[in-house]
Amino acid sequence: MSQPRICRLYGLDVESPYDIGPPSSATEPNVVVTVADECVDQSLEVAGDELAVDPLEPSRFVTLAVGDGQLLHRIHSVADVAIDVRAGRITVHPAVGGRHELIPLLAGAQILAVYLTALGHLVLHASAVEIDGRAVGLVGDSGSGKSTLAAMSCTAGARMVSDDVVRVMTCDDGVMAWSGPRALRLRPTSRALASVEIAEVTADERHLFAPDPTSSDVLALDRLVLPRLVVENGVLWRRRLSGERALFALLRYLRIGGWTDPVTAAEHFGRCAELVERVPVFVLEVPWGVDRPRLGRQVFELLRESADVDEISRPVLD
Amino acid sequence: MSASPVVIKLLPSVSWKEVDGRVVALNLTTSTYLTANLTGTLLWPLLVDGTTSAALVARLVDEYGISDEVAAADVDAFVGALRSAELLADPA
Repeated sequence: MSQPRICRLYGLDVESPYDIGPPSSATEPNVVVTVADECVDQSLEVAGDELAVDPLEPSRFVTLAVGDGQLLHRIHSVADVAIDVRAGRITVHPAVGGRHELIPLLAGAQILAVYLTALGHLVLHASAVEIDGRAVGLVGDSGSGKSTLAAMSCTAGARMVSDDVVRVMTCDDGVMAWSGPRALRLRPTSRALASVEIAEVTADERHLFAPDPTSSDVLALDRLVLPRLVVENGVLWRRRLSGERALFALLRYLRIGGWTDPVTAAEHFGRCAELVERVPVFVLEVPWGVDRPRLGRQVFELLRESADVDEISRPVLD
Repeated sequence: MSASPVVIKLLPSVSWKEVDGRVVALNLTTSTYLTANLTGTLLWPLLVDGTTSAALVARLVDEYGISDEVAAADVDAFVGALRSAELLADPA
């Protein structure tokens, strides 16, 4: 750990001991992340009302309300995270015998996503790139291809906005997406690795790629795209989802899902419904399995194609 | 003395939005979602405030010009689906 510094992520000025994002120009943070010296024994139960459980893998994390405006986000085998929502204070208690090397990664993504969600913001499991001055969100679960498609489109001219977490905000002027971590963490199997220069390997064994970043703190969100990697069929296919299907899809891809708390569930439902009314949502099927050197350029072109076209099918060029 | 008509009303724990002209509802207690078709969407505002089967039938007859019998069968099916999805309050 180094001296605390203030980074700018998701519209927040975050002071933390980790290098989790680009430097902020703020002199005072609005969120402070600290790491406790003493480790916590996670075999001990914590008293509190359960708010959320990881919907995909319940053993991975749980979020509890432990007092007025106080949350405890337990990431099993890594850390207990105490969040004082009103004060903007986040204290990480490493778990005894846990994978502490993951804490910096989680601090810049999952932990801030919990904090933002607790504040009532909509936070999607997504990466985002800037194309023609607007943000395109690539939404999906881990392994769905969102970082890979972001990397491919960045090699063709897009700029990186945020990896793995996208905070979305609706306002009178439209829908905005805040920038976040500008480096992409690619799986070793990602085909995008063939055409990018890797900066380092991360604690979770991903390959770090730092494409050209956006210079904007917040951008208008032009569209959302759900990548689908399909066995090679030689065709790129983009189709727009109906509002109802788009709503159901987005509710599956909240960065912190599994909220059983009715108030938060109703907030997510309302915000996602408002989002699909204002922003088109597409599925993009991308052939996978055979090297196509021009695929990145074609993906980029399809991501920027007019949102007024409901369906486009295009052969992949060799 | 005739019995009061049964009141049909959504539970307060049901959150809903109209998306692309159709109602999408979320039962916050069970975390289940439901999408209404165009007929269900037409009837939905009545269910929010609380209504009766007769009023729902009348709304369909008025909108589509169908017979009372056909409308009543549609209403029964729709209300039955809502009850199965646990979206309705217990009859008053």
